[in-house]
Amino acid sequence: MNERQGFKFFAVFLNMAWFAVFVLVPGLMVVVVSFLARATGTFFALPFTLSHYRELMDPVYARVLGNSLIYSLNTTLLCLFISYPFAWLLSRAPRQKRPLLLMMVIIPFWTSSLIRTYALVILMKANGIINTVLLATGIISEPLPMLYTDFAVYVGLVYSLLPFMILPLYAVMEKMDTRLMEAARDLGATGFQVFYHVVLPLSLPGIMAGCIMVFLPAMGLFYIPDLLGGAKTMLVGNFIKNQFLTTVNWPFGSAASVFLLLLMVLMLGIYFFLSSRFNRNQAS
Amino acid sequence: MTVVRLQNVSKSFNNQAVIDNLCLDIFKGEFLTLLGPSGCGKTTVLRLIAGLETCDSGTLFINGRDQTRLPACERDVNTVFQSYALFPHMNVFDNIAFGLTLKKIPARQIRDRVQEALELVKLEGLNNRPIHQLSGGQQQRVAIARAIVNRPLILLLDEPLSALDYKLRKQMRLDLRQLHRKLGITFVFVTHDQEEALTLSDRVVVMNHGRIQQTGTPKDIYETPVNLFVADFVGESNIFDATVTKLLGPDMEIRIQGVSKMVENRRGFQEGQAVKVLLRPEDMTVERTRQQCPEGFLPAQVKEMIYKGTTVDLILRLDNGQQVFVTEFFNEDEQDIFYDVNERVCVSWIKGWEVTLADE
Repeated sequence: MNERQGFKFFAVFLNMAWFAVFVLVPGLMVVVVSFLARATGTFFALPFTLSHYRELMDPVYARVLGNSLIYSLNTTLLCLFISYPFAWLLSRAPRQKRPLLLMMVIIPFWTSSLIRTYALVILMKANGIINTVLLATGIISEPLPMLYTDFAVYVGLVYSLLPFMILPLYAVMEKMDTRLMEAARDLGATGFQVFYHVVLPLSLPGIMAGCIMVFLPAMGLFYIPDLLGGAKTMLVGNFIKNQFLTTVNWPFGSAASVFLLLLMVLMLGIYFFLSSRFNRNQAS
Repeated sequence: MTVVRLQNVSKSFNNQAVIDNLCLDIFKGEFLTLLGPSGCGKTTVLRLIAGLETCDSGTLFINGRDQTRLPACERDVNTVFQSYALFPHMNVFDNIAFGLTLKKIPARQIRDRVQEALELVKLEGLNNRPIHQLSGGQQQRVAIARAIVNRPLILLLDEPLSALDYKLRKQMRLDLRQLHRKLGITFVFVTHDQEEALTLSDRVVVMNHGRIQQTGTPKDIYETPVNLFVADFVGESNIFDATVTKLLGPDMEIRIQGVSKMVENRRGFQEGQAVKVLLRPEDMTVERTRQQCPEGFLPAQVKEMIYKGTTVDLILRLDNGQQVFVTEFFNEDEQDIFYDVNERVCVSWIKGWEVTLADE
């Protein structure tokens, strides 16, 4: 084995070991626990049971899931509509300015999203920055109720997940050949028709990737509804967190986690199926 | 009849003039070629006609109407792009039908017209083929079909053959000429390839630095270039510095490197004027030397002899060091056109075959 292969082996091994210890093993533990009985003191105990999964089928939890799906879906659509024009302008900006603009999208990643969520709380509180400014300038006479509303939850979710939509969209748009748009105009397409017949179909891979990258994390971001929605809205992520930390029902929380995981795997499967079919249709 | 008129059109990018006060009339049904080196503004002229760029100043008339500000989508003009710019997410049929679909033409009519266009470019039966499964030559033909299916007033072609290999390019040239004859549409063709320009066009416009250098038939351009740029850019030329020594009616005597030679005086040159004499390689004659060159011949030495099948190309060096290119054809009178390297020869031309320009 020469040095190069040795390094390759080492790098791959390190990654595999990392994932095994911190992802695979805990994941398997969650799966195992989900089939165990609840116990006080030890958190879980034998015998194996399917009761937690049966319990999950209860309509109460179906509503939690439905709620989460609606929040995630709305967040995804909001992100898409905000990001699409933004990513477009970014991809059409002068070449020298693009790295800077892209940097500005990425900079917020440097701070923990939990801390950024707290920052939003400070902005939107009844006596927060926005209300103070609006009151001081006389635009409003009493504080706007913003924190602990659906509005705040959406602001938080969209704000945290926006870059995940912008980046894949930017990636496809940047590669898009302007000459195709010129060709469409030349053939009689108006601005909207160029968008509808050429730009939109060609940015579809980016739209699909962005939607997946926003939709899936949105399902699990428990601390945003917690901090900004005042835990009034129960989402799958909050529900799981509560099972572990509040109700101390580890097996039931595990079952819910496994269920969410399977749901995500299913959606990823659909995504890969669709995108591979799409790529086969228009490989360049 | 004029179908496009560019009147004092100027265009600059980043404060750099690309088109400088250009005037050009394009006639209905002609095959016009814009010829020039890269960066001469020829593609910009095409894009201005297409409406993909707008004139900074000047007026553009299409079919007699001022369409300077008309958006591209409303102009009765279609373009074949250099890179083809075919829509990768559509198959051959949808690409060609694109323009017709936008015009809300009934589906049956679209099918017939796409079929007709496919036949014109000899691509029958490829309707459902995705674009990425086509060869370069086929993509080229789809691009042409996509434009002509709209039956535009003018078809613009932006270096459409530059991406094809030599054999395919020659075939496409013939096909384009046939297509032009069949359709009767005005073709405006952009190229930097002088051979393409000469073989295809009814008229050639030679451009440089955003200005028109010469407009004329291929024969005009090749045989009577109006300036050194055209002479140099179109075909190969030998350029001699000379001085007019004597005026003799329609002719004049000039002196080139100590040799006197009679040439025609078509531009009213005066005695003592410095001139440039241009000669095509195939217009030069070479004689084997017998001690001294005959009158009007320049002494030279053979530097290189290149056998090319139908011709023999000679590179000669005059005594002052200037290189002269000569092309000799095989013919029955003169069997012996092979020369030895370093052989002393004499070179001249038949009076009247030269183009004489004032020394700029």
